Amino acid sequence: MKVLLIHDEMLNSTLPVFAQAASAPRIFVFDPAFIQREGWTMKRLQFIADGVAEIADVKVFKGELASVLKMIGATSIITQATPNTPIRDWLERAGVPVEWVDEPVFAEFSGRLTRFTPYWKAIESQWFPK
Amino acid sequence: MEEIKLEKRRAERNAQIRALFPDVHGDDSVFAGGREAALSALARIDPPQYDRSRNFLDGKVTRLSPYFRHGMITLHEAASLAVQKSGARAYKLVFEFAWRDFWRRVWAKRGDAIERDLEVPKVPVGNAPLPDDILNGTTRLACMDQFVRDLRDVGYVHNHARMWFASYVIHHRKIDWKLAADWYYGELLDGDRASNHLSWQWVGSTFSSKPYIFNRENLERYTLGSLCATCEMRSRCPFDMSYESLELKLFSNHGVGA
Repeated sequence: MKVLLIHDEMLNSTLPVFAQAASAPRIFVFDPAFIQREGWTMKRLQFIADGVAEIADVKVFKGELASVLKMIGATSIITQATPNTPIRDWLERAGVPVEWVDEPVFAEFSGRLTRFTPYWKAIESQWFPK
Repeated sequence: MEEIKLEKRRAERNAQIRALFPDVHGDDSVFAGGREAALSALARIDPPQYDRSRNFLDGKVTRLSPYFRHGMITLHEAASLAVQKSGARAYKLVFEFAWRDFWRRVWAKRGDAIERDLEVPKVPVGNAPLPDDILNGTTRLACMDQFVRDLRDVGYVHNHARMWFASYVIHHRKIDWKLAADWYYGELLDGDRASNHLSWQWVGSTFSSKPYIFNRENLERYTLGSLCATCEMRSRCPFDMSYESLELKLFSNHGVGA
């Protein structure tokens, strides 16, 4: 069974990944080891819980991710792509294949990332056409 | 391992989360999370007023960053609304939104390397540990101590205050920016390694062409003097000098005039 793993950067069911994984059961996991590594405060956990609580039909767990996946019979994950290495490491170590769906883009850009100003000059016209 | 039925009401849910994670520190969140709260905050943006006042601590900033960080709204939809509302007068706000995208792209490109110096620092920086007076907000500098209270009590700090604070920590106190950035990341509601760690590097000059420094005149202007007025260190303020003198004081002892 493929599940939509909702991580902490995608607490919004209007994101494209939710439509793409419309038939997949939705889960969110509070993994104590992950939370400890991130060093989050109570405020952060409560803020995240606010977001999770608004998402329909999501099953919420507290526990180690791999154990949760095993318990519910998940054999693969679909989720939103991210450069967030702690999230990537966390999911990739859970022992099941992960399908990453692109996150929404702010602007098209393929240049070198040296400084902000050249980046902004390259994308500026996408928001403010000359 | 357990399945959790999240409480519907926020106060009860906050108590539920606290009971589930008794070892996690901090007060309850004063920021409401979620898509609905994000859209409410987004509806209140005023791009022209943001442009005029954003550098002031009481300016009309959006406070959208915790929502961006958790995907509750996207940069694209916020920028679209800003442009729809204000046209060309949304330029500065969209420009600032773009910083988040830039930082994120750098993270995607460089990965965990963003947690180390990306470039050679342009001025001498230190590697001192984080002292208790920084962590506890007891430096006796009213400004810096207030910024730490904002961080710990609310989990949100005005962007200008973040820059002043990082500059103080890195350049005046010669503290290892990575130790400070890791601590800051954990305390922030909008804590994001790209925006946070790369901003610390921008201030420190390991991802910029020069260090960011400020003086008392600058801080006093954008705080309307409110913090300096009550500061017990106001007659010994370490920021009360010209930029030229600050550069000499902060950077010349090591043979770099900056």
